[in-house]
Amino acid sequence: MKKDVSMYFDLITSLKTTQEVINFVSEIDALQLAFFKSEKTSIEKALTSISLNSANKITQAFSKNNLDTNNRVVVSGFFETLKELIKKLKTIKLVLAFDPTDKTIEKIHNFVKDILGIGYVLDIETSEDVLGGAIVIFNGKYNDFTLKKRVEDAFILKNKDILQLYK
Amino acid sequence: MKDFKYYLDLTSEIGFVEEASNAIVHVSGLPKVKINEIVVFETGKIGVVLSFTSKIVEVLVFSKESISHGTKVVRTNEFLQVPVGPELFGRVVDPLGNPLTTMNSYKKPEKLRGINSLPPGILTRKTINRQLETGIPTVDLVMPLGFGQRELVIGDRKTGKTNFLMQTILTQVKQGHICIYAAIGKKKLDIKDVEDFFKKNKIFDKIIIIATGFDDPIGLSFLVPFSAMTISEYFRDEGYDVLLALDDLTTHAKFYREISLLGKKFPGRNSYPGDIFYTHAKLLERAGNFATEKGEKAITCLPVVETMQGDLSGYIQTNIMSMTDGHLYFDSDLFAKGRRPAINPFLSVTRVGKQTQSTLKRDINREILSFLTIYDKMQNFSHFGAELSESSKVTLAVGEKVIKFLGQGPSVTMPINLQMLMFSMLWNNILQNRNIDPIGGDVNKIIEKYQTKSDASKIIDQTITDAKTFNDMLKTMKEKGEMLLSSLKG
Repeated sequence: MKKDVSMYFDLITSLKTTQEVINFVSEIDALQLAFFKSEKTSIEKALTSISLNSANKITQAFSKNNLDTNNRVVVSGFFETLKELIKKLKTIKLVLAFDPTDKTIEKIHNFVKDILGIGYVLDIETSEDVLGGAIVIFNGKYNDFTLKKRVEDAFILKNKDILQLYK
Repeated sequence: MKDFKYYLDLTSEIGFVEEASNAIVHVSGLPKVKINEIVVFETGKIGVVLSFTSKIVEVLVFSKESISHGTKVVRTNEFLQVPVGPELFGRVVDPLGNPLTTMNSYKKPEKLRGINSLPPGILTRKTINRQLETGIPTVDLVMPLGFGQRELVIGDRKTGKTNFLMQTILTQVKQGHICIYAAIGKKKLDIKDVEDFFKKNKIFDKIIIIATGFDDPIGLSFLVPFSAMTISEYFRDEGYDVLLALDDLTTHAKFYREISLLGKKFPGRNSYPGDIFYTHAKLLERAGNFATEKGEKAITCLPVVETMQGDLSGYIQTNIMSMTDGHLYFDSDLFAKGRRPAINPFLSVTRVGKQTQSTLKRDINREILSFLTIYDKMQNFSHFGAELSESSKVTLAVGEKVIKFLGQGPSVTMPINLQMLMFSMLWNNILQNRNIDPIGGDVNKIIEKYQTKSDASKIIDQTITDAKTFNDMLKTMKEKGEMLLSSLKG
């Protein structure tokens, strides 16, 4: 039977980078550990063991989908499915010349969402060597849109013209 | 090979190491990768693609250093090739053509040849019709080999298999043929011994040694026989007959087993992968006698297989037996009795060698084999302590001489015509009458004379050519035997 994954939509789309994914998964692990440590522990109490932001997102998902938080089987199933879905997220690696702000990351992520849909996260690496632009690595494909590459190409293609300038 | 960045720009594809276990690395990415394609790691190391799924590419690496998780990998759109050419003569190199020892003025050959070529089809193959001389009477007279034959050399460890290969190479190099010795995962000391043997016999600059040590990367050791076969094919196409010794395929099978188990392939019998037969058959099928643009040229292959306590029924042993055109069995019991080479003629087989023999050679072959059978029976009978008749005593005495004649020192090789002459003399009691021992110093002197005195060798060669059958030969020996012996002794 196919699982209804629409209830996870908000949680999944809120993850933009691989770092956020790693943090979120470790928070779910911590939450599960706290929740299943004792049968008496409620989900509300367990949620205090993770960050407020993540706790709010999970609480919202529970209430929005009318999940019975007292039913431990339902809660357990919810977390397991969530982790499975997170594993399926595809990574787009970006090498940028600067450390992007949260706003920039959100912009890029929205751009990706518009083009490819949901289910993609960004793995951002900073390297000043690239000077500007970005290297995009996705699905084993490597595309170099950097300024460094442009300059190098220019030196190869217009070598004579450049040398002429120095004469 | 170019560097990582070059191939990255060329193919615009990248992968990342997800898992590394010794020689096998699992890589994600590289969507258009092909089987047997070379990949380059950002650290400069290279590997070859063994298999892939939609998510993971399995790569065999050729370096000892471990590769860490997350290392970038690029494909090259190039397939595994080995350098080939006459520059390799007198060199000890690894399967990728890199020198194993410090060598003066070695320049890696520029010509490259694909390592995984398909075996030639039936139309290009010719019947094996020329005898390959090994210089060892037990083989040349009793178990003859032909050019293009694949003869398995099988036996326990330390029974003289490698020594036999070296003697055969020595004979073949003297006849102007190309010889390649492939040492698979051997001890460095053993490789050095082989090298020293060839140097001592002044033929080192005429042979090629492809070798890996037992501590070299398993990926490299796996490539050794394929690389050696590729080089053999190059020289065959250049118009030479090639002798290729693969020492040994049991070790090769063990390396392949290790690679397959690391690659999580399902283990079969004795934990070997299911395609071990295919791997070896694909290799050995590349040898044979072929019709080339430069005439009939052959790759004769002598793969070595080690047995455990004389057990011929092992998995790899029987596999390779079924792929080859016979086998020479090196018997540890005979070795312990002092027989050199310790080839057991009753347990050895040559499927195509006898068809290369002339009537005279075939007659001698039949005579020796039937006599050895009688001698063996007689010896067993004498063990009961029964009183022996005069004829039995004579048979045992002659048998001892024949066994001595078939024996040989480690670096002695006897030309085949001289072998036939000496055997005929032995059979006619000429050697016994002149008190000449059929082994050792006396024979060594005769061999030297034959090789240096061209008049004597010419007469002997003519005598052999004139004799159509063994009876003719015996008749000639009665008439001219003493004279011929004197010319060789004088």
